[in-house]
Amino acid sequence: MKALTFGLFLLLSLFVVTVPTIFADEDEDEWDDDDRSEYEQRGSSEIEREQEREREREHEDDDDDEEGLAFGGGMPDTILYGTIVVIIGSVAYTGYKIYKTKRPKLSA
Amino acid sequence: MNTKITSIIFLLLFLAPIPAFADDDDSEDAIERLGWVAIGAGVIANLPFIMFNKWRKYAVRAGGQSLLMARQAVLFYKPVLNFHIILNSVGYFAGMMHGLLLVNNLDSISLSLAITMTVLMTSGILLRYTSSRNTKVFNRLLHGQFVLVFLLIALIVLHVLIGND
Repeated sequence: MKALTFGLFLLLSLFVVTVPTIFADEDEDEWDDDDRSEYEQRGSSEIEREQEREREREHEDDDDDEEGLAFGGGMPDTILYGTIVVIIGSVAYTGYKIYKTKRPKLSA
Repeated sequence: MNTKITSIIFLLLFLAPIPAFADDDDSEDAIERLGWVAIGAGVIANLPFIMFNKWRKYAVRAGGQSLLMARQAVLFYKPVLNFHIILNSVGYFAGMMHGLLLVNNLDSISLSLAITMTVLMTSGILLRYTSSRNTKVFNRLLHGQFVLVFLLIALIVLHVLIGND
């Protein structure tokens, strides 16, 4: 049973490490052989202009995404901090409750 | 032998969310459906369990015929608890998988939801499987905190609303 639990834990850890890597974005700035030959054929200035346009387009998309958030900029962050505070508070309160129950009463 | 069979069934249950991906070319929709599987599993795992426990407490307090019924219901406690643990595990892993597959769209509310789910899941696992008395008492109190349950429900509602937007 211990070996099974260990195996399951190992499998889960492997899964957590590999899955995000598979779905991670490829680096768009990286050049492959096709890009290099295209660069040589078309000249640098035209490609640079195109890359600039692409970057601007991506920037506009990012702005649109930010506008699309339902709660504006600060609200989700406040919720995250609030969650962390509530969880720490709950853990501390539980610990305090146990400490209070177990503390021996001082006799006068 | 019995433990082995239980372990195999337990592992197979983790494959339960797979039908969410069946017959669908659009992967985004399938991943979204995995989130609904997590919510559904959570509701089915928790509502009957909470209702069962509340009814037992009420019956013990009421006494008489209800007390007898509550004593007989003790036999059902273990199966109901196992059902609660297994379905919650399925829901947790389905939810985490949904989050990992959509990690590019991660926002603060989804992160808060993942943290809260992990805290409740960890306390539940420790409560069930630890042998230390102190850890058991601590996790029993933490796992049943109303504020954490309320936070989890509020974050699920917010996550669904923002996801739909």
